[in-house]
Amino acid sequence: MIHVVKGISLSILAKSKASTSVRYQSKDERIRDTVLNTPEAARFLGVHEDELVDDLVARFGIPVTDRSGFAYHDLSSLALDTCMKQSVPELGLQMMMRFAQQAEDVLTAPQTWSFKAKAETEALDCEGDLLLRQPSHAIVTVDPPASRSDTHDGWIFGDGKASEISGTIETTGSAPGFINAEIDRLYDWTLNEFRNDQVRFQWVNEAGRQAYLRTWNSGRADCVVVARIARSQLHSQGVDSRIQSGRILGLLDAQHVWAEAKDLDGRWRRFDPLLELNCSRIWGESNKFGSLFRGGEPNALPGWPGEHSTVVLSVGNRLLDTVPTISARRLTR
Amino acid sequence: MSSVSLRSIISRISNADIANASDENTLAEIGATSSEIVAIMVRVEEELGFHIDYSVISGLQTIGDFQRYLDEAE
Repeated sequence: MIHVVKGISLSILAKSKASTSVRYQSKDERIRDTVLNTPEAARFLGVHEDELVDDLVARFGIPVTDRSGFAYHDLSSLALDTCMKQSVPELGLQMMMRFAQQAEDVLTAPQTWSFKAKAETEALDCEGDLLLRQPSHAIVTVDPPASRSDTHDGWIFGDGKASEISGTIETTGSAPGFINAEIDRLYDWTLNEFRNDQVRFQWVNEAGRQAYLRTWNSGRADCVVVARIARSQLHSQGVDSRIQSGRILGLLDAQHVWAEAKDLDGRWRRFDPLLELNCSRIWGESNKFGSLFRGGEPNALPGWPGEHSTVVLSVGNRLLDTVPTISARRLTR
Repeated sequence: MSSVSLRSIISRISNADIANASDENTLAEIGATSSEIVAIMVRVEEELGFHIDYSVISGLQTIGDFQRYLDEAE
Protein backbone atom coordinates (compact mmCIF):
# COMPACT_ATOMS: atom_id res chain seq x y z
CA MET A 1 0.00 0.00 0.00
CA ILE A 2 1.31 3.44 -0.88
CA HIS A 3 0.29 6.41 1.23
CA VAL A 4 0.74 9.89 -0.12
CA VAL A 5 2.21 12.48 2.23
CA LYS A 6 1.91 15.91 0.66
CA GLY A 7 2.66 14.35 -2.69
CA ILE A 8 5.37 12.08 -1.29
CA SER A 9 4.62 8.41 -0.80
CA LEU A 10 5.59 6.36 2.23
CA SER A 11 7.37 4.01 -0.14
CA ILE A 12 9.78 6.85 -0.83
CA LEU A 13 10.13 7.51 2.88
CA ALA A 14 10.98 3.87 3.54
CA LYS A 15 14.45 3.71 2.04
CA SER A 16 16.85 1.03 3.17
CA LYS A 17 19.13 2.59 5.77
CA ALA A 18 20.18 -0.43 7.83
CA SER A 19 23.82 0.17 8.69
CA THR A 20 26.06 -0.05 11.70
CA SER A 21 28.09 3.06 10.84
CA VAL A 22 27.45 6.37 12.56
CA ARG A 23 25.05 8.63 10.67
CA TYR A 24 26.48 12.11 10.80
CA GLN A 25 24.61 15.26 9.85
CA SER A 26 24.71 16.65 6.33
CA LYS A 27 27.31 19.17 5.24
CA ASP A 28 24.59 21.85 5.08
CA GLU A 29 23.69 21.22 8.70
CA ARG A 30 27.34 21.05 9.81
CA ILE A 31 28.15 24.48 8.34
CA ARG A 32 25.69 26.10 10.75
CA ASP A 33 26.56 23.97 13.77
CA THR A 34 28.35 24.88 16.99
CA VAL A 35 31.98 23.77 17.10
CA LEU A 36 33.60 22.17 20.17
CA ASN A 37 37.36 22.02 20.65
CA THR A 38 39.01 18.77 21.70
CA PRO A 39 38.73 19.21 25.51
CA GLU A 40 35.09 20.29 25.19
CA ALA A 41 34.32 17.40 22.84
CA ALA A 42 35.94 14.87 25.19
CA ARG A 43 33.89 16.18 28.14
CA PHE A 44 30.73 16.02 26.02
CA LEU A 45 31.43 12.38 25.13
CA GLY A 46 32.55 11.43 28.64
CA VAL A 47 35.97 10.17 27.47
CA HIS A 48 39.59 11.23 27.90
CA GLU A 49 41.05 13.53 25.28
CA ASP A 50 43.60 10.85 24.33
CA GLU A 51 40.85 8.34 23.62
CA LEU A 52 39.05 10.84 21.43
CA VAL A 53 42.13 11.80 19.42
CA ASP A 54 43.91 8.43 19.27
CA ASP A 55 40.95 6.12 18.82
CA LEU A 56 37.46 7.49 18.24
CA VAL A 57 38.27 9.94 15.44
CA ALA A 58 39.76 7.25 13.22
CA ARG A 59 37.49 4.38 14.29
CA PHE A 60 34.25 6.24 13.69
CA GLY A 61 35.41 8.74 11.06
CA ILE A 62 34.23 11.76 13.07
CA PRO A 63 34.20 14.70 10.66
CA VAL A 64 36.59 17.48 11.64
CA THR A 65 35.21 20.87 10.72
CA ASP A 66 37.27 23.49 8.95
CA ARG A 67 36.89 25.56 12.10
CA SER A 68 39.36 23.43 14.07
CA GLY A 69 37.02 21.33 16.07
CA PHE A 70 34.10 18.93 16.07
CA ALA A 71 30.53 19.84 15.22
CA TYR A 72 28.24 19.52 18.24
CA HIS A 73 25.63 17.40 16.44
CA ASP A 74 28.23 15.08 14.89
CA LEU A 75 29.40 14.31 18.41
CA SER A 76 25.85 13.68 19.58
CA SER A 77 25.35 11.32 16.60
CA LEU A 78 28.43 9.37 17.64
CA ALA A 79 27.29 9.27 21.26
CA LEU A 80 23.77 8.10 20.47
CA ASP A 81 24.58 5.73 17.59
CA THR A 82 27.20 3.93 19.69
CA CYS A 83 25.39 4.29 23.04
CA MET A 84 28.25 6.04 24.86
CA LYS A 85 26.93 5.65 28.39
CA GLN A 86 28.85 8.56 29.94
CA SER A 87 28.12 11.03 27.15
CA VAL A 88 25.87 14.04 27.68
CA PRO A 89 23.24 12.82 25.17
CA GLU A 90 22.91 9.36 26.74
CA LEU A 91 22.94 10.65 30.31
CA GLY A 92 20.47 13.36 29.34
CA LEU A 93 18.16 10.83 27.73
CA GLN A 94 18.21 8.62 30.80
CA MET A 95 17.59 11.55 33.12
CA MET A 96 14.81 12.89 30.91
CA MET A 97 13.04 9.54 30.72
CA ARG A 98 13.12 8.93 34.45
CA PHE A 99 9.62 10.44 34.71
CA ALA A 100 8.25 7.59 32.58
CA GLN A 101 9.45 4.92 35.00
CA GLN A 102 6.26 4.97 37.04
CA ALA A 103 3.17 2.79 37.16
CA GLU A 104 0.47 3.86 34.73
CA ASP A 105 -2.01 4.77 37.48
CA VAL A 106 0.60 7.05 39.08
CA LEU A 107 1.50 8.70 35.79
CA THR A 108 -2.14 9.34 34.86
CA ALA A 109 -3.43 10.54 38.26
CA PRO A 110 -4.34 14.21 38.80
CA GLN A 111 -1.34 16.23 39.98
CA THR A 112 -0.81 19.79 41.11
CA TRP A 113 2.51 21.53 40.53
CA SER A 114 3.84 24.89 41.59
CA PHE A 115 5.86 26.67 38.94
CA LYS A 116 8.16 29.64 38.50
CA ALA A 117 8.79 31.13 35.08
CA LYS A 118 11.18 33.84 34.06
CA ALA A 119 11.74 35.15 30.56
CA GLU A 120 14.52 37.37 29.32
CA THR A 121 13.48 39.38 26.30
CA GLU A 122 16.50 41.65 25.97
CA ALA A 123 17.78 39.76 22.94
CA LEU A 124 14.53 40.14 21.01
CA ASP A 125 14.97 43.90 20.77
CA CYS A 126 11.33 44.78 20.14
CA GLU A 127 8.29 45.85 22.11
CA GLY A 128 5.37 43.55 22.77
CA ASP A 129 3.39 41.73 25.40
CA LEU A 130 5.09 38.96 27.31
CA LEU A 131 2.67 36.04 27.17
CA LEU A 132 2.61 32.90 29.30
CA ARG A 133 0.79 30.52 26.97
CA GLN A 134 -2.05 28.25 27.96
CA PRO A 135 -1.33 24.50 27.82
CA SER A 136 -3.67 22.20 25.89
CA HIS A 137 -4.52 19.66 28.58
CA ALA A 138 -3.67 21.36 31.86
CA ILE A 139 -5.11 24.16 33.97
CA VAL A 140 -2.84 27.07 34.91
CA THR A 141 -3.53 29.50 37.75
CA VAL A 142 -1.17 32.44 38.06
CA ASP A 143 -0.38 34.16 41.34
CA PRO A 144 -0.81 37.06 41.68
CA PRO A 145 -3.63 37.06 39.12
CA ALA A 146 -2.56 38.40 35.73
CA SER A 147 -4.73 39.65 32.90
CA ARG A 148 -5.72 37.26 30.13
CA SER A 149 -4.66 38.01 26.59
CA ASP A 150 -7.29 39.38 24.19
CA THR A 151 -7.37 36.03 22.41
CA HIS A 152 -7.55 34.11 25.71
CA ASP A 153 -4.57 31.98 24.76
CA GLY A 154 -2.57 32.94 27.81
CA TRP A 155 -1.69 35.53 30.42
CA ILE A 156 0.03 38.85 29.88
CA PHE A 157 2.69 39.58 32.43
CA GLY A 158 5.45 42.07 32.99
CA ASP A 159 6.22 45.26 31.14
CA GLY A 160 9.98 45.18 31.49
CA LYS A 161 12.69 43.30 29.68
CA ALA A 162 12.78 40.47 32.21
CA SER A 163 9.79 39.26 34.16
CA GLU A 164 8.88 36.53 36.56
CA ILE A 165 5.60 34.77 37.14
CA SER A 166 4.54 31.95 39.40
CA GLY A 167 1.46 29.85 39.97
CA THR A 168 0.14 26.33 39.77
CA ILE A 169 -0.41 23.82 36.98
CA GLU A 170 -3.01 21.09 37.40
CA THR A 171 -2.37 18.12 35.14
CA THR A 172 -4.32 14.94 34.57
CA GLY A 173 -3.10 11.99 32.59
CA SER A 174 -5.11 9.51 30.55
CA ALA A 175 -4.85 5.86 29.59
CA PRO A 176 -3.31 4.85 26.24
CA GLY A 177 -5.03 3.63 23.10
CA PHE A 178 -6.49 4.96 19.85
CA ILE A 179 -9.99 4.22 18.57
CA ASN A 180 -9.08 4.89 14.94
CA ALA A 181 -7.16 1.88 13.57
CA GLU A 182 -5.46 4.09 10.98
CA ILE A 183 -3.76 6.09 13.73
CA ASP A 184 -2.58 2.84 15.29
CA ARG A 185 -1.20 1.70 11.96
CA LEU A 186 0.76 4.89 11.40
CA TYR A 187 2.09 4.70 14.97
CA ASP A 188 3.33 1.15 14.34
CA TRP A 189 4.85 2.17 11.03
CA THR A 190 6.87 4.91 12.77
CA LEU A 191 7.97 2.55 15.53
CA ASN A 192 9.08 -0.03 13.00
CA GLU A 193 11.10 2.47 11.02
CA PHE A 194 13.23 2.90 14.15
CA ARG A 195 13.21 -0.76 15.17
CA ASN A 196 14.34 -1.81 11.70
CA ASP A 197 17.12 0.81 11.79
CA GLN A 198 15.68 2.73 8.85
CA VAL A 199 15.76 5.79 11.10
CA ARG A 200 17.79 6.45 14.24
CA PHE A 201 17.13 8.82 17.10
CA GLN A 202 19.69 11.61 17.01
CA TRP A 203 19.88 15.22 18.00
CA VAL A 204 19.12 17.39 14.95
CA ASN A 205 19.90 21.08 14.66
CA GLU A 206 17.53 23.72 13.34
CA ALA A 207 18.75 23.36 9.74
CA GLY A 208 17.98 19.63 9.83
CA ARG A 209 14.61 20.25 11.44
CA GLN A 210 13.65 22.73 8.75
CA ALA A 211 14.47 20.11 6.11
CA TYR A 212 12.68 17.44 8.16
CA LEU A 213 11.71 15.21 5.24
CA ARG A 214 15.28 15.13 3.92
CA THR A 215 16.58 14.48 7.42
CA TRP A 216 14.13 11.61 7.92
CA ASN A 217 15.11 10.17 4.53
CA SER A 218 18.76 10.32 5.57
CA GLY A 219 17.87 7.99 8.43
CA ARG A 220 18.01 10.47 11.31
CA ALA A 221 15.32 12.07 13.44
CA ASP A 222 14.81 13.89 16.71
CA CYS A 223 11.50 14.62 18.39
CA VAL A 224 10.75 17.62 16.18
CA VAL A 225 11.43 15.68 12.98
CA VAL A 226 9.30 12.73 14.18
CA ALA A 227 6.44 15.06 15.13
CA ARG A 228 6.52 16.83 11.75
CA ILE A 229 6.60 13.53 9.82
CA ALA A 230 3.74 12.20 11.98
CA ARG A 231 1.66 15.32 11.41
CA SER A 232 2.12 14.98 7.64
CA GLN A 233 1.25 11.30 7.62
CA LEU A 234 -1.81 11.68 9.82
CA HIS A 235 -3.01 14.60 7.72
CA SER A 236 -2.55 12.58 4.51
CA GLN A 237 -4.84 9.91 5.94
CA GLY A 238 -7.53 12.46 6.76
CA VAL A 239 -6.77 12.52 10.47
CA ASP A 240 -6.62 15.96 12.10
CA SER A 241 -3.22 16.38 13.71
CA ARG A 242 -1.28 19.05 15.51
CA ILE A 243 2.06 19.52 17.18
CA GLN A 244 2.57 20.04 20.89
CA SER A 245 5.66 21.19 22.70
CA GLY A 246 6.20 20.62 26.38
CA ARG A 247 8.58 20.46 29.26
CA ILE A 248 8.99 17.63 31.69
CA LEU A 249 7.96 19.06 35.03
CA GLY A 250 10.51 18.71 37.77
CA LEU A 251 14.11 19.54 38.34
CA LEU A 252 15.49 18.73 34.90
CA ASP A 253 13.01 20.74 32.83
CA ALA A 254 13.77 18.83 29.61
CA GLN A 255 11.95 19.90 26.47
CA HIS A 256 10.09 17.63 24.10
CA VAL A 257 7.90 17.92 20.99
CA TRP A 258 5.30 15.42 19.77
CA ALA A 259 2.24 15.07 17.55
CA GLU A 260 -1.38 14.69 18.59
CA ALA A 261 -4.10 13.02 16.54
CA LYS A 262 -7.81 13.77 16.77
CA ASP A 263 -9.48 10.42 17.36
CA LEU A 264 -12.94 9.27 16.28
CA ASP A 265 -14.48 10.48 19.58
CA GLY A 266 -13.17 14.00 18.95
CA ARG A 267 -10.44 13.78 21.60
CA TRP A 268 -6.87 14.79 20.89
CA ARG A 269 -4.57 11.88 21.75
CA ARG A 270 -0.80 11.80 22.03
CA PHE A 271 1.07 10.22 19.10
CA ASP A 272 4.54 9.97 20.62
CA PRO A 273 6.38 6.83 19.46
CA LEU A 274 9.78 8.33 20.24
CA LEU A 275 9.15 8.16 23.99
CA GLU A 276 8.07 4.52 23.63
CA LEU A 277 11.34 3.86 21.79
CA ASN A 278 13.31 5.66 24.48
CA CYS A 279 11.73 3.39 27.09
CA SER A 280 12.85 0.36 25.08
CA ARG A 281 16.33 1.79 24.71
CA ILE A 282 16.70 2.27 28.46
CA TRP A 283 14.66 -0.56 29.99
CA GLY A 284 14.56 -3.14 27.18
CA GLU A 285 11.89 -4.25 24.71
CA SER A 286 9.78 -5.94 27.39
CA ASN A 287 9.48 -2.80 29.54
CA LYS A 288 6.00 -1.87 30.74
CA PHE A 289 6.36 1.90 30.55
CA GLY A 290 6.48 2.86 26.85
CA SER A 291 2.99 1.82 25.83
CA LEU A 292 1.46 4.87 27.57
CA PHE A 293 2.68 7.12 24.76
CA ARG A 294 0.41 5.37 22.24
CA GLY A 295 -2.50 7.72 22.81
CA GLY A 296 -2.06 8.14 26.57
CA GLU A 297 -1.20 11.32 28.44
CA PRO A 298 1.39 11.48 31.24
CA ASN A 299 0.69 13.96 34.03
CA ALA A 300 4.32 15.13 34.12
CA LEU A 301 4.63 16.38 30.54
CA PRO A 302 1.89 18.86 29.60
CA GLY A 303 1.91 20.25 26.08
CA TRP A 304 1.49 23.70 24.58
CA PRO A 305 0.11 24.22 21.05
CA GLY A 306 2.60 24.29 18.20
CA GLU A 307 6.32 24.53 18.52
CA HIS A 308 6.46 27.88 20.27
CA SER A 309 8.07 28.47 23.61
CA THR A 310 5.96 28.38 26.78
CA VAL A 311 6.61 32.12 27.20
CA VAL A 312 6.56 34.27 24.07
CA LEU A 313 6.68 37.91 23.13
CA SER A 314 3.42 38.70 21.39
CA VAL A 315 3.94 41.40 18.76
CA GLY A 316 0.82 42.03 16.66
CA ASN A 317 -0.03 38.69 15.08
CA ARG A 318 3.46 37.28 15.66
CA LEU A 319 4.69 35.14 18.53
CA LEU A 320 8.44 35.53 19.13
CA ASP A 321 9.99 32.77 21.18
CA THR A 322 11.80 33.64 24.37
CA VAL A 323 14.14 31.32 26.21
CA PRO A 324 12.42 31.14 29.59
CA THR A 325 13.64 29.38 32.67
CA ILE A 326 10.80 27.35 34.09
CA SER A 327 10.86 25.11 37.10
CA ALA A 328 8.02 23.13 38.59
CA ARG A 329 7.65 21.22 41.81
CA ARG A 330 5.06 18.50 42.38
CA LEU A 331 2.78 19.47 45.26
CA THR A 332 0.55 16.37 45.20
CA ARG A 333 1.93 13.63 47.43
CA MET B 1 24.30 17.55 57.42
CA SER B 2 25.14 15.57 54.29
CA SER B 3 28.70 14.97 53.15
CA VAL B 4 27.39 15.67 49.66
CA SER B 5 27.53 19.43 49.07
CA LEU B 6 25.34 20.50 46.19
CA ARG B 7 26.97 23.92 46.01
CA SER B 8 30.41 22.35 45.80
CA ILE B 9 29.31 20.03 42.99
CA ILE B 10 27.69 22.90 41.09
CA SER B 11 30.83 25.03 41.36
CA ARG B 12 32.97 22.18 40.00
CA ILE B 13 30.70 21.37 37.06
CA SER B 14 28.90 24.49 36.01
CA ASN B 15 29.67 28.11 35.20
CA ALA B 16 26.47 29.05 37.00
CA ASP B 17 26.74 31.82 39.57
CA ILE B 18 26.55 29.66 42.67
CA ALA B 19 28.42 32.18 44.84
CA ASN B 20 25.55 34.65 44.61
CA ALA B 21 22.75 32.09 44.59
CA SER B 22 20.26 31.86 47.42
CA ASP B 23 18.65 28.64 48.59
CA GLU B 24 15.43 29.84 46.98
CA ASN B 25 16.95 29.92 43.48
CA THR B 26 16.48 27.09 41.01
CA LEU B 27 19.38 25.63 39.06
CA ALA B 28 18.05 27.18 35.85
CA GLU B 29 17.73 30.59 37.50
CA ILE B 30 21.42 30.69 38.37
CA GLY B 31 22.32 29.88 34.78
CA ALA B 32 22.88 26.12 34.79
CA THR B 33 22.21 24.68 31.34
CA SER B 34 20.23 21.47 30.79
CA SER B 35 23.39 19.48 30.17
CA GLU B 36 24.97 20.95 33.30
CA ILE B 37 21.93 20.00 35.36
CA VAL B 38 22.24 16.43 34.03
CA ALA B 39 25.94 16.41 34.96
CA ILE B 40 25.14 17.78 38.43
CA MET B 41 22.50 15.08 38.96
CA VAL B 42 24.88 12.36 37.80
CA ARG B 43 27.64 13.57 40.13
CA VAL B 44 25.23 13.84 43.07
CA GLU B 45 24.03 10.28 42.47
CA GLU B 46 27.61 9.02 42.17
CA GLU B 47 28.44 10.57 45.53
CA LEU B 48 25.23 9.30 47.13
CA GLY B 49 25.71 5.84 45.66
CA PHE B 50 22.13 5.44 44.43
CA HIS B 51 19.69 6.80 41.85
CA ILE B 52 17.16 9.37 42.98
CA ASP B 53 13.67 8.34 41.98
CA TYR B 54 11.55 10.69 39.85
CA SER B 55 8.95 10.78 42.62
CA VAL B 56 11.62 12.53 44.69
CA ILE B 57 13.14 14.63 41.89
CA SER B 58 9.74 16.00 40.91
CA GLY B 59 9.25 17.34 44.44
CA LEU B 60 12.48 19.37 44.36
CA GLN B 61 12.64 22.82 42.86
CA THR B 62 15.26 24.99 44.52
CA ILE B 63 18.87 24.58 45.59
CA GLY B 64 17.64 24.59 49.19
CA ASP B 65 15.09 21.81 48.49
CA PHE B 66 17.80 19.71 46.88
CA GLN B 67 20.33 20.16 49.68
CA ARG B 68 17.70 19.41 52.36
CA TYR B 69 16.91 16.16 50.54
CA LEU B 70 20.62 15.28 50.47
CA ASP B 71 20.92 16.07 54.18
CA GLU B 72 18.07 13.69 54.95
CA ALA B 73 19.06 11.00 52.47
CA GLU B 74 22.35 10.05 54.10
